[in-house]
Amino acid sequence: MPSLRSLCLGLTLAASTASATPLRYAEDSAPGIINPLFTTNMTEARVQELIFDGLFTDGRDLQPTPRLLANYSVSEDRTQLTGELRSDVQWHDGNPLTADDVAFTIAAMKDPQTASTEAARVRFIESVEVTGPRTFRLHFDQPQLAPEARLNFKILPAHLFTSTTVSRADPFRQSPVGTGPFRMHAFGEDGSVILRANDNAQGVDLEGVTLREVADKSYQAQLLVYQSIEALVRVVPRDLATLESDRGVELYPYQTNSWWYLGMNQQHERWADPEMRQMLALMINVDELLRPIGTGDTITGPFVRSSPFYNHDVTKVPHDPDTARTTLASKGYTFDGTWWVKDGEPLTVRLLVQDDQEVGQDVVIAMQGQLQRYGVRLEPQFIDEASWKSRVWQERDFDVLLSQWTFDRNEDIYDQFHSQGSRNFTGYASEQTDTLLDQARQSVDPQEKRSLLQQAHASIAADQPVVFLWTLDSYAAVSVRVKNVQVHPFYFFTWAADWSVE
Amino acid sequence: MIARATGHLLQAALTVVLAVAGMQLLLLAAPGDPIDLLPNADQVRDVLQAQWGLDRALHERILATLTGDLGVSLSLRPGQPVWELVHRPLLRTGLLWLSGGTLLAALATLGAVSRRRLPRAAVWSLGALGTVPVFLLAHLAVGGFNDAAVALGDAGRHGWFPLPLNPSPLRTALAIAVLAIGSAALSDAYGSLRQRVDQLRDSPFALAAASRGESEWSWLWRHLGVAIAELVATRGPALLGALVIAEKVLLLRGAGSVLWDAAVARDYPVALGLTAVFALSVALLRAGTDIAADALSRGQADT
Repeated sequence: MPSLRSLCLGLTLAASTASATPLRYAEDSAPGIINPLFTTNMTEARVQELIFDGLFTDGRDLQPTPRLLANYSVSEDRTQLTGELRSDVQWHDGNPLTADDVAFTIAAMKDPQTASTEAARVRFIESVEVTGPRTFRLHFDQPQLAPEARLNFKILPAHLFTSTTVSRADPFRQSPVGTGPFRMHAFGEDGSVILRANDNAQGVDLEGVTLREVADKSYQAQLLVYQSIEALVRVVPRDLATLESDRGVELYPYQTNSWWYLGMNQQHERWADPEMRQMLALMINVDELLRPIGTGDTITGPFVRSSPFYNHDVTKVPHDPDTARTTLASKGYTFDGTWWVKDGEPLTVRLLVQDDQEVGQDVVIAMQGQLQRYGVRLEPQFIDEASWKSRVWQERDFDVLLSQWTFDRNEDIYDQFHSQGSRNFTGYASEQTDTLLDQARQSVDPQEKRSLLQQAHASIAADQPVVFLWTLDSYAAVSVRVKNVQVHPFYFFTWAADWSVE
Repeated sequence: MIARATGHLLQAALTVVLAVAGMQLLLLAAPGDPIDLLPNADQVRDVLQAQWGLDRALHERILATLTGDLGVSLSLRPGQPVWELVHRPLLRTGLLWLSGGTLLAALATLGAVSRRRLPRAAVWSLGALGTVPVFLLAHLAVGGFNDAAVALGDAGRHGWFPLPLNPSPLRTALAIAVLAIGSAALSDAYGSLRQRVDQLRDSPFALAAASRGESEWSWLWRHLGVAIAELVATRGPALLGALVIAEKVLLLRGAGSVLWDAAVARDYPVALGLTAVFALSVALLRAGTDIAADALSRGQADT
């Protein structure tokens, strides 16, 4: 019997040892604010994933699964969702979760004076009806094909705010209270965020999670190798080999809905001409550009290859410099032995790139070599994020840009390719594409939506408003001491409650 | 004497005003503002412009900073008072700067007053090492230590290069050393002090003092004091610039790296507040060293 008791004690100690260490991970920049009303970047979104819960979350199969809801139903006309909150959920401060919290969150997000960065996520919710302490009904502005997929925004505690007009400076930003698996312990002046396991949450194996700001990606990899941290959210391609060969580190590939492109400003006469856009696409050898920067898939349209909306019948634009040369000659350009020239000016592509764009510099250098080989000059300009937002988003002040788009599960490309889209920086306008995107937005039939977006893919590819480049494979790197790891492709920590550190 | 000191102080005040105004103009000239960095800037611009005071006139913003109203952070830590955000990093930077400057002055002075000249190879090595810019020197140091740790294998995984703000005497020592040596700081300082000492030793009054049997230190310290004050005045601001880079490379969360982050995030109040403090420090340093040099020169003239 004593030996059995010793065994039990040993097992208990082993179990407690397994969760005794917090998980430390690095981010490029510290979060400025931890309040889901004001999410600015993915660093903040990832921390929020640990502290807060939404009505729905993603299951391991990436399908929406109720998180705060005990049960729910969607009306037959799909314009209402009735829900009942779980009775076993409490806020980190011990208060119970109520339907008022749901109503407050949506009202605060919609309040113009709050100026929430997340307002667009709840625009489809016309009103909220609180029908009981834990029951509510959401009314939508139009029928929703899958409202569950849009109800993953984080719910806030109404009792900690005095009004739905919330200021960014509200103290909540530094001492957030959620219902998630981890609660806030400290928000350090160095930008570190220290979270502890939520005692009310069941099945959380980690003692806590600590975020540290490490601006330099190379150092992040070194810190992982030297066991100063346990996880890296995203490994840059140049560190892959080092981390792959380290026996203390495990790489986890994950697919993001993210793709790269070259966007041509169609307000400029040159790029308003579809033949000139086609010319640029023919001149660029996309496979050759992709090879040195990592592994991934080339794409022919605005979706990742694994997307249900990707149209596999659309053929890839071939690398065909001869046809590109013929196009240039037909447009009045002459080759002077080095450059293609028109009106005494060599053909110059002025390429705008964001300076923190991963591997952007490598792509630009390779592209510069390619175009120079065929007599086209490429002048790159690297600018910081604020300049990018101002020049590209506000003023449309660019010739050609190299960038990438990242989408959530909905893969809504309306803003990027509809003539009325708020992020249609290239100025692309096609009646056919507009109609397809409008119909896809309104469709409540999954098969019809899929067909419409596949047609939109073909329509956009034919017009070539941008040169579609590739999707890059993403890797997270996690210490082998961390067990049960599965990463969410967008929010990363969605299933972190199941992780443990030995 | 008082008139000259007042002149130095007025010059210092003007430096601060110009630095704050210059930084404000630079920030405004840079494309984009803190609202641009938000995901749906168009929809929140009107509300935030009023909330953040971005619609205030330029002179009002400059005046507010100069009168000590540093305001609150807009994008780095929205809502946090600037002073609360920057005072610790400023203290850290100040200590590093002081340590780097002291090491530089001490090494240069020791080398300069030494009767024995340094071996040619040592001078050459120091000169070669000194020509490496601070950022590269810091990178080389980090790389060297990491490679050494790798060479030690698993046993070397002791976290010599821990996370930002975790105590690391080695990393702090590296920062101080690269500040004192890099970007030709030490070789320049040594060169100028050595030249001054050599001139003094060959001067008639030095020979006269020696013939009277007086110790060299009885007159050397006074003259050297002026030279060191000049050195601090000229090298001090440059060290501050180098410190910004050393902090970024060595992950030391000082005021330099906060200033960098604030400029990138277009956090105007934080960038302006730090500029005002930096400018005030440099201006006071220069004024202080000028006044000290005046006093010492006056002392020399009296003797």
